[in-house]
Amino acid sequence: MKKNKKKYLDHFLVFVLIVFASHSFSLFENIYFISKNNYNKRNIINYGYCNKEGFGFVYEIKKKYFYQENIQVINYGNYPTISGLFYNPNKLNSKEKVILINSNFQNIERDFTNIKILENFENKCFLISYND
Amino acid sequence: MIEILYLNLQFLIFIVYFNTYTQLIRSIKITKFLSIYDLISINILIQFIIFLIISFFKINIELFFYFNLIISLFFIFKFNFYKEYLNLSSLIFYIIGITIFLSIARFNDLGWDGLAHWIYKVNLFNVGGSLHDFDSLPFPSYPHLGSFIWSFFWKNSVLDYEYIGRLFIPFIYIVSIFALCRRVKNNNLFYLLSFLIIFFNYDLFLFSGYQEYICFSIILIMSRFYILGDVKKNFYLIFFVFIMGSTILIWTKDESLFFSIFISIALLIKMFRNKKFIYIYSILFFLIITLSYFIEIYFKGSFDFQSEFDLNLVLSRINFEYIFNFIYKFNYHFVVALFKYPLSLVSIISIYICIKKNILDKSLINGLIVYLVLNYLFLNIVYFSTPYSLEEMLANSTDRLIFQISGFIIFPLIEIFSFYNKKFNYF
Repeated sequence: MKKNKKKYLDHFLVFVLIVFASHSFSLFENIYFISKNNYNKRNIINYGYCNKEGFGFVYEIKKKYFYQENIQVINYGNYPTISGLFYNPNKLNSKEKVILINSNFQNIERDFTNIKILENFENKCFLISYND
Repeated sequence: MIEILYLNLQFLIFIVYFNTYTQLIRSIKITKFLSIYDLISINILIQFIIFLIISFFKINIELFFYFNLIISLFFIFKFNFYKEYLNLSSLIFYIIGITIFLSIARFNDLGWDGLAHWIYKVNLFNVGGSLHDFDSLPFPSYPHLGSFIWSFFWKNSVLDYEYIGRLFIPFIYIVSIFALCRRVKNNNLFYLLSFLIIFFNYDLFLFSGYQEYICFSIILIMSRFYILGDVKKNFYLIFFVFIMGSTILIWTKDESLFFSIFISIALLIKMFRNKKFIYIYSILFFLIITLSYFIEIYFKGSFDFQSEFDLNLVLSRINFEYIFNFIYKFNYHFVVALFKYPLSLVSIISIYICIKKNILDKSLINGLIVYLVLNYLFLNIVYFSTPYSLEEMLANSTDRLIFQISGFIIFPLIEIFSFYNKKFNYF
């Protein structure tokens, strides 16, 4: 009888621990979030579309323009460049086109000459190409 | 939903993969007393050494992965040791593991270091590149083992998602803590302690592509074998765990080379009566460092650290004003870092209790104190000689360095609980 009581108590303690662990690591919230947002959507939420590292913008530009080349991304915000995520050592690095994140027209005028703006998202994210 | 199911499968894959040599280790008489988590820890060390060796050659890693998995599954079912996983401790192990996996899956973005250099190495290995190609990458001198394993599990996952490759990091983190906490015989206390240590040392940011948890876990595994008594009986076990652990540390991060030296010194202090051990270990450890040096030279053309040691810069800083300013700033950030990871603070208090109450062997305490002093001096030298902004360096890296170092000093806390549990049958 006593042994059974102790066993139940042990199981209850484990149950409390599991509930506490699930709560403190937001288990159910994470399950809901992952089921609702696929991998790509989560990438955009976490890295930002045209803010933070600018994953969404870079991803779309890469699909549209960069088939055979590695992209060059310059982030003007206090974030690392996201180009490493798309990097493939077997491809050549793009020398003609550059993606700018968290930028503006003043930055472009100051840092680049003789360029053409191919894409512009909300005057903050750009794809530029050297004219020659 | 498929992704969540796959994460569960990935957890099982890790369990199977890191059990390949369990039966082999078990067949050795001296390892009979080891818990299942100790055995997985040793498997992790063996597998990491194999990863290191295959990273030097161009081997088909998919074939290697499935070959290993099949062998492991064969042993698990042939010797029926899957039954050992059918208990409450495994349930807690699984739930904590899967909750951390899900947190990483949700916040799957890489941190600064992850994006700035580690991911380039991972992508290089992903397309079959080798160490010879490191020249074209940022920070080529950085060790590559963590990136190689990340790439290995990414490439061998059914879902081609980057974060799956780095899930091995939380896995080894949990295993190392469970292995150390299993020293406590009372099950409830074991569950509680394991959970609390995982909880207090949990930092989602460090799972975003940083290598700190790898070093922390490997150091923790080494500390678990550091406390083994009966040195003569456990001679080979301690020897191989420390040699494998040191090798892994050297190839994981720049600063880990120094951690491995300090841990080895602590071990030699513990083993001071066993001259044979001291000679063999010292020679082999020296050989490993030399070999690592030549391998780096062979593949990368040079053996560099993150920043060069500039003697002139150090000499120019030797003046009262700079030294006073340095001591104040360094110690301020040091204390802040201790509070950021409170377990390191609790561990230091535990060492004091162990000394006062005579809970640990004197040689263990001596080794531990030497380890702490050497690390403190090392950090002082690193920051005093840094060519970068001192304030920025201290703010960005002290906490991470202390986190890694703390892996070796947690065991006195566990020993205190184990001691009182045995003595008074508390809990």
